[in-house]
Amino acid sequence: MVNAQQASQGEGGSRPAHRLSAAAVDPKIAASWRDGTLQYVGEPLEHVVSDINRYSVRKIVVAPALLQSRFTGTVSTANVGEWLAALQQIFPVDVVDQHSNGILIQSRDNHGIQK
Amino acid sequence: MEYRNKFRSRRIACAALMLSMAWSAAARAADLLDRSIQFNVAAAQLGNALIDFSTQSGVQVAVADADVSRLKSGGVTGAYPAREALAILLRGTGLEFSRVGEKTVAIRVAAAAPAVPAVLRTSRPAATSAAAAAAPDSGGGASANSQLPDVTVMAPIPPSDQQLAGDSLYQFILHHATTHFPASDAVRGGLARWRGGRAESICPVTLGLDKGYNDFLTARLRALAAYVGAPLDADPNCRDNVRILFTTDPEKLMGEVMNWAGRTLGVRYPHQTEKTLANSGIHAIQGWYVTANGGQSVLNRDAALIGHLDLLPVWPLVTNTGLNGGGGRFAGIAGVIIVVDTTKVEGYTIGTIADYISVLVLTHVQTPDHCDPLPSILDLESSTCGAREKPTAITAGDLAFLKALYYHNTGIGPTLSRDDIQINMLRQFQGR
Repeated sequence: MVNAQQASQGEGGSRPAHRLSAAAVDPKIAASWRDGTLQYVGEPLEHVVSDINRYSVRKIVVAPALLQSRFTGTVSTANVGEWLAALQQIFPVDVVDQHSNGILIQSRDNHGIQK
Repeated sequence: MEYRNKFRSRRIACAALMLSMAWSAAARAADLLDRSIQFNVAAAQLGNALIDFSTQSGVQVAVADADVSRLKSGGVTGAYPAREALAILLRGTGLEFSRVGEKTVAIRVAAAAPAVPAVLRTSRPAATSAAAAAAPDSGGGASANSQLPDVTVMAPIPPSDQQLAGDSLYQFILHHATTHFPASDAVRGGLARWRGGRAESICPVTLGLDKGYNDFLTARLRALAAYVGAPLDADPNCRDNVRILFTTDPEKLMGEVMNWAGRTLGVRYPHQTEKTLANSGIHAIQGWYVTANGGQSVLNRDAALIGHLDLLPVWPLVTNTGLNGGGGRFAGIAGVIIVVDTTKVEGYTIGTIADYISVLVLTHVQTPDHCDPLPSILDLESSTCGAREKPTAITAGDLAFLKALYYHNTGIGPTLSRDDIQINMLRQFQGR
C-alpha cells in the first residue's frame, strides 16, 4: 500500500477540475505513479490514455466521442494489453490495432457518438 | 519515457497478439484470482474499494465509472482468495466481474440484469388486477431474483461546486417541479406532490414485462419513495394509482388507459382526455399526471371525491391548459400513468428505466427536455444534453430535490415554494 505520499507528482495539479474532483487529489491515488500502477476514480479516458502513453512506444488514440468516458480502476503499465481488452468489456468500444499508427479506441458501432 | 526495453518490445508484441485474438483466455492456469490474500479493504465508495482490492491483490481492475459511481462498499477484511474478496465487494451491487487475460478483471452490470429485451411479453393492463401484480415489500421480491439489481437506495456522490455554480440549482428545481401550463400558479409555491392520505398515497403497479421485471420496477419505485419520504400506501393490495405500462404498441394502449383514468380516478371530460392522451408517439417514455386541486380536506378521501381532477401530460405536444380550463392550483398528485414504448428503450437497463420513471412519478416534472449543469436521471431522454455522459441512475440532485419536496409532507403543510426547496437542497449538499 502506498499511503503517506504527498500528491506531489504534479499529474493532478494542472488538470481542470473534474466532476469527481475529490478523487483527483486523493494522495494515495496520485502516488500510484511510483510503482507503475495507475489508479483512477472517474477519470476521463483522455487522461488515462495520456498517462499510459508516457509508458508505451505504441501510442493509444481515443476517438473524440469517447474522450470523456469515465474510467475507474487500475492500469498496470506492464499489462496494457489486458487493460485494452477489459475496456471492450466495460465500454461499448472496439480496440483496433492500426499497426504503425498505434492503437485506436473507437465506438463499437463506429458511427460516432451513441447515447 | 525511459522504460525497460527488452520488456517493452515483448509487452507490445503481446498486446498486439491479444488484440488480434478473441481474448478467450478466461481459463488460464491456476492463478492470481485463486491466491489467498489477507485483505484489508475499508468501507468506502465502491470505486475506491476496488482500487484497494487491486493494490492488495495485484489484479488489474477496470470498470466504467458510471457503473460504480453511485455505489458504496462495506469493504472486505480477512484472508480470502482474490475472486472471493471481489465477489464480496460486489455483492448486492448488480455488478459482476469477468476475467480478462491473466491479471485483469472487467467489472460491469451483470449480464443477467440486462437491457430491457426488445420483445417483451406484453400483458393487457386493463384486465390485470392491481392486487395480482402488486409487488411484495421492497427488497423482498426483487432480491429473490438474482438477475435483477438491488432496489436499495444508495447515496450517490454529491455534486461538485461546478455543478452547483450560478443559477444551476434554480434551473434544476424549475425543471423538476412545476407545471408548464402558463395559467397555473406555478411560479410561487404550490409545487405538486403526493400529499398523503388515501387519495394521494402512492400505490404503484407495473405491467407488461415479465413478472420479475414488473416487481423490480414497482419495488424500486417504492424504495425510492420511502427514501425521500413520499407517502406510500403500505398495503400491497392497495388500489393502484400509479400505473406503469410497458408495451410495444403505445397507441393501442391509449384507449385502455383512458378508460382506466376515467373509471378509477374519476377524471372527467373523457373527450378532452382522449385528446391529451393522443400526445404520445414520439417519446419512449410518456406519461400523464392526474392532479387534484383539493385543499387540505382532500385527506382521507377517495380521489373520486376530490372533485377537481386534471390530466396533464409529461411531454405536451400541444400546450393544453388542462381539461378543466387550467388556472387552478393543482397542488396534489392523485395518479400517474406512465407508458413505456419497449421498442424505444432497448439498450437501457431496467434499473435505469426504473429510476427515470420513479422521478417522473414522484414529482410533476416540467417537460423533461432540459440539461442543467446539475445532472439528473431525466437527462436520459433529453435531446439537449449533447455528448454529455448520461446518468444511469437517479442522481444526487434528484434525490436531494425529492427529499426537499417531501420534507414537509405530512399531507397538510405549507405549500412549498422553489425557494424552500433550494434552501433545503443546499443544506443537504453542505453535508458533503
